Amino acid sequence: MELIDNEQQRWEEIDAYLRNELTAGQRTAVESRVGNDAAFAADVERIRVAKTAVKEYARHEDMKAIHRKMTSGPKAISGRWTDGVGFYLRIAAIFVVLLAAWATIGITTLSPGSLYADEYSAYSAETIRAESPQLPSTAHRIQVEYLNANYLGVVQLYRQSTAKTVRESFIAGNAYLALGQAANASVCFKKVLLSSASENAFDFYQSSEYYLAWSYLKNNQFKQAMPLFEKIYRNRFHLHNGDVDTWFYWKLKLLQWKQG
Amino acid sequence: MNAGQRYTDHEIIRLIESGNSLEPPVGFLYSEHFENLTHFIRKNSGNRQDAEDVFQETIMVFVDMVQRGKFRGESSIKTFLYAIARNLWLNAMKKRDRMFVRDIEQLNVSDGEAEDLQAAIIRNESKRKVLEFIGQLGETCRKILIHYYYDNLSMKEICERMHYESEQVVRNQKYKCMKKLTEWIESDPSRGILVKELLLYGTD
Repeated sequence: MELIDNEQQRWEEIDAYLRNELTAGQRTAVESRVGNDAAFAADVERIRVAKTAVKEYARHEDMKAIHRKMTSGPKAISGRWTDGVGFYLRIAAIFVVLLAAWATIGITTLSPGSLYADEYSAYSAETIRAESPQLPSTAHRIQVEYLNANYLGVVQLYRQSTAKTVRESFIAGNAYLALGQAANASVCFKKVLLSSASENAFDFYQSSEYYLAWSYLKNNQFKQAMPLFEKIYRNRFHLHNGDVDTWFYWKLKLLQWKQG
Repeated sequence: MNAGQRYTDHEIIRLIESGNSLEPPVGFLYSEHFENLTHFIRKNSGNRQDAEDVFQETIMVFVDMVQRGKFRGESSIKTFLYAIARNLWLNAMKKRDRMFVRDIEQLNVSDGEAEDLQAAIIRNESKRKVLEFIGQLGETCRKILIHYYYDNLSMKEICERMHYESEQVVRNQKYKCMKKLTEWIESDPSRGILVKELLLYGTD
């Protein structure tokens, strides 16, 4: 123990010498001993070597800390944004984020009203005129008013009509829908569906299913609209099958999921 | 480092030689050359992590050379860093047993500089082995020795900073750590020679 204590004291003296903490007299004494005592000189060298190794280590750690600071964290130098795989991953990440944002906005804002506003397009009566050059007077006038986009005129004539044929009801239904009177439009389209059989006039049957579905949607009656759209989507021979495409159908399914 | 502070090659050398904080000149070297060197490594079959490792070693070799007065200044720092990085990367590829090491473009450094930097790279490799042991001494030993020999703190300051009961406890602990370190150095004659060789050019 005594030996260790002596060595420790000797090493502390050498440390003080190497750190220039000794007085001039003490320093001279140490230097004199280095010249005369080989064991002491070896200790000085030993400590000088170890001390240098420690300093090198600390300097090395400092450099590593600078490296960490410069290559990670807020002050990091970012890589070239077009570098290798990272570039494609970044592009993919941006795409995924945008897609997620778009989907989130889409889901959040999706409603029967928004779907109607985005997807509904009014019925075109051009084909009726071409198919039926000689219509009864009321039906003809209703059709002309519809072609002129005078939907109020159509409704007025329809109300005055005593016959209310399938054709008149179908065009009136579309006029009501164009005016935003979805409940009245539904009544007209349902009348078409019911009367088609009795009048043996199926020309407007499938179109009435389609526009009745829109009327329900406009009137926020999604549960009534969905079966009709689904029926049209699944029947590839339906007149309006092409109007209910897969993309639109998935929007309906999403809305169905959202509405529980 | 002042944000956006720029240095000439001469100023960088002077700052590194001064022995003051390395952060300003080294930080500038990172901001100035890291991206281009990363591109250089990636162009030669490396990835970003390889580039980071090579750049870190490149800077260590360069700083070591400057501090030992071994940087001749015949080439620009940029060219010299590329030359070091090129050598380090070739060595790394060889160690990985790459069947086909691509011929990495030569850089315009003098023969003397090329020899110096090759020697510096070997020295850096040896030094790392010595430093690894200090890293294994344990956190307490590392801290005490670094505070005392590198930060030049007094026993009293170390005692306060590391919350020891008394200065004597620190003295005893430091003695034990130094004993352990010197014994490790002397336990292998070749290791002793290696450390002394490093010491020859050390910045005591």
